[in-house]
Amino acid sequence: MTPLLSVRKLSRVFSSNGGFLRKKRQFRAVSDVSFDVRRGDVLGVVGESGCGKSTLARLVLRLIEPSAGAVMFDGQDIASLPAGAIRPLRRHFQMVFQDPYSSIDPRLTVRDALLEPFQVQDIKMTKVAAKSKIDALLTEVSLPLSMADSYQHQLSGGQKQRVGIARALALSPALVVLDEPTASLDVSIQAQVIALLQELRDRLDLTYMFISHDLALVQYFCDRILVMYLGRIVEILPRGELPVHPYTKALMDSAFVPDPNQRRDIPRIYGEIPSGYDEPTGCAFVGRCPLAEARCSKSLPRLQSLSENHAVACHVQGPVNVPMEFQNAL
Amino acid sequence: MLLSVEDLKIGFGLLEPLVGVDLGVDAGEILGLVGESGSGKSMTAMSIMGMLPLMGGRIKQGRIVFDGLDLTTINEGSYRKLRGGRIALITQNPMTSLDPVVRVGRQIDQASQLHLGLDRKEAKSRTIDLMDRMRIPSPQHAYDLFPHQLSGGLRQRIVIAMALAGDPDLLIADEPTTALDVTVQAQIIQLLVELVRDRGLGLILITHDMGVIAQTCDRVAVMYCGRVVEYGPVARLFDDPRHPYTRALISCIPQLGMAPGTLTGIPGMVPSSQNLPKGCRFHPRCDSVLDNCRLREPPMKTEDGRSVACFLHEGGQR
Ligand SMILES: Nc1ncnc2c1ncn2[C@@H]1O[C@H](COP(=O)(O)OP(=O)(O)OP(=O)(O)O)[C@@H](O)[C@H]1O
Ligand SMILES: Nc1ncnc2c1ncn2[C@@H]1O[C@H](COP(=O)(O)OP(=O)(O)OP(=O)(O)O)[C@@H](O)[C@H]1O
Ligand code: SF4
Ligand SMILES: [Mg+2]
Ligand SMILES: [Mg+2]
Repeated sequence: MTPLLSVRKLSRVFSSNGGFLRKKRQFRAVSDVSFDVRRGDVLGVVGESGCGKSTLARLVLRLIEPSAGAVMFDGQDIASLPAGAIRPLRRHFQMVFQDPYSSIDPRLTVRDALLEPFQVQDIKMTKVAAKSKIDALLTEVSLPLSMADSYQHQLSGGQKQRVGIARALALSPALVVLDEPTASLDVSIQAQVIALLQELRDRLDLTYMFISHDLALVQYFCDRILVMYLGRIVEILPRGELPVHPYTKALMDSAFVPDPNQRRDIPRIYGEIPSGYDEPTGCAFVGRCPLAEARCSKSLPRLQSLSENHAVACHVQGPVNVPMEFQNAL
Repeated sequence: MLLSVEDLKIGFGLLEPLVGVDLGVDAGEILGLVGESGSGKSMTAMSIMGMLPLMGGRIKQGRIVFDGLDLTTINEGSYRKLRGGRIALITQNPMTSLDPVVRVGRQIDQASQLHLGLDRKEAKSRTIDLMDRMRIPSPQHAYDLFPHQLSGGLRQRIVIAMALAGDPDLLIADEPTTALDVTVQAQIIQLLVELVRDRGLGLILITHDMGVIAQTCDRVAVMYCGRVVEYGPVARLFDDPRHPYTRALISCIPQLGMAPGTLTGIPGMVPSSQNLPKGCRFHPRCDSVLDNCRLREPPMKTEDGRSVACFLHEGGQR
């Protein structure tokens, strides 16, 4: 079966203005990213602040233009379609944003916010049809129907995020990209929202791309995880498998295990994320990596398959003998 | 006890954001304060720091005893000598504690000049030493930088160095790492723990991350709607949580290897302080409500070194 989403060699460079006597600089926010998402799967994207997660999401939804690469959605390259041809397709892929406060106009009632996607797509509905649609959407995300008349300042964080999800579902999309949808919520509410997303996926046959910086959450919720570092994929990790890349391991070791009987020292990874302005010749993680060898700073490690669903970009921890059939898998 | 808070009640106009708060921390010990947003964690910190009057609030009842002195009886002038000196606070957002136009090194100097009476030269060498201990790379150079020239993680380390400059006995860290990446967060928490163990200061660590609590604290106070609902040694609280809210909070943490569908969350949401439910404040969200829970507030019962405010444990036994 062809994947619902196929991203190939996707890159985005931001140029800074430079200004008086300053050189124009190029910032590589996303570099040479390729991956597939099967229909019905949840793909997680993790990495530290600034590694390019949101830029990748916006490229996939063509909210910004790529510098290079292809985004095949259901067989069609939405990265190269003319802007006008994108609009009717938009109903099939929707986004839920991190900050439930900023993504919805504060002057709109919940009802208006939920009707907006239909207006954007020029879909006309009778009053009766609109009401039953709103009722259905509110029910879908377990909000009381009376909430249709509320303004967002009257809602809690979790309720706002539910409205954001209902809005993304309004046009029955196939793919929903969720950019840190629970980052501003308490864990108790985060767990509610994740349970809701899981249930919706099963019932409506949705496909998700789920961005987060919480590796434990992503491992819980996602079928496969892209681990990004400085704009590149360093590992594609299937659920339940142990990480192989030193950076993914560092991320995992930095998590605080909620069990006081399993206390351990957190291995430090020193140093800061390098700047994306200077294209590194070797692995971008080399300065912080405990396993780094001489070759790591000389050439860029390519993403190579370890098994059908697991791939890693690391000279030291990469596959030893890659079987021929996998070599061009990615 | 280095610090003990006893039956604290505070008021802002008609609202009472904290009621009946009891907790304590000893030298060389870490007390965790955990709970959902709005549960009163920062208010507890502000009360101890003597900041309520500056925010328009006041202490209505109870005592805050620090090293034998009841802080609720001292005036603002005496408080000013303590703040940043023997008691220091680290806030969540480093930018609010840093002056954007003063070099970071100078900002650290100020605390030791003010509270330890060092001259400028002595203060500078103490600052460089502190920055080095915070593992700020090339402290001599970093001393002269402005806050905006540093990353979020480095800024937070500067704020910690500032808090330590006055040689505090008690440190309160209010969500010191929430805004930071996990790898940086891990480093900073580790740094705080080392300080407590090496220098014997008392630390109150405020967080809503049960993972951080489990890995670092000696004792924990779980707060809900302005009350401490459970208080005790960390291992016993995690192994055998008594309050249904504690149990629910622990079950909300995603963990490696957890089966899909097992994370359900706590139904409902934290009620607003203007609209508190009658009876136990947690009862509308509780999975084990008794009739009594809807009518009366459960009193705090202490037995065997741990306390819980829940009718399921009235009299202290299960
Ligand atoms: N429009 C833009 N112009 C210039 N640089 C940009 C632009 N958008 C993003 N960037 C830069 O690209 C990098 C990646 O940003 P992005 O927002 O994708 O990161 P992220 O992984 O989503 O981070 P976070 O976890 O903080 O949300 C950042 O360094 C950012 O400063
Ligand atoms: N300046 C203020 N005046 C009156 N009430 C306030 C004020 N600041 C906060 N409150 C109320 O006090 C209660 C406790 O708030 P507090 O800031 O201590 O919560 P918190 O546990 O620190 O939450 P968070 O995790 O969001 O930081 C809340 O109900 C809040 O609405
Ligand atoms: S390629 Fe080398 S530097 Fe990069 S992560 Fe692997 S071992 Fe470390
Ligand atoms: Mg982002
Ligand atoms: Mg707070």
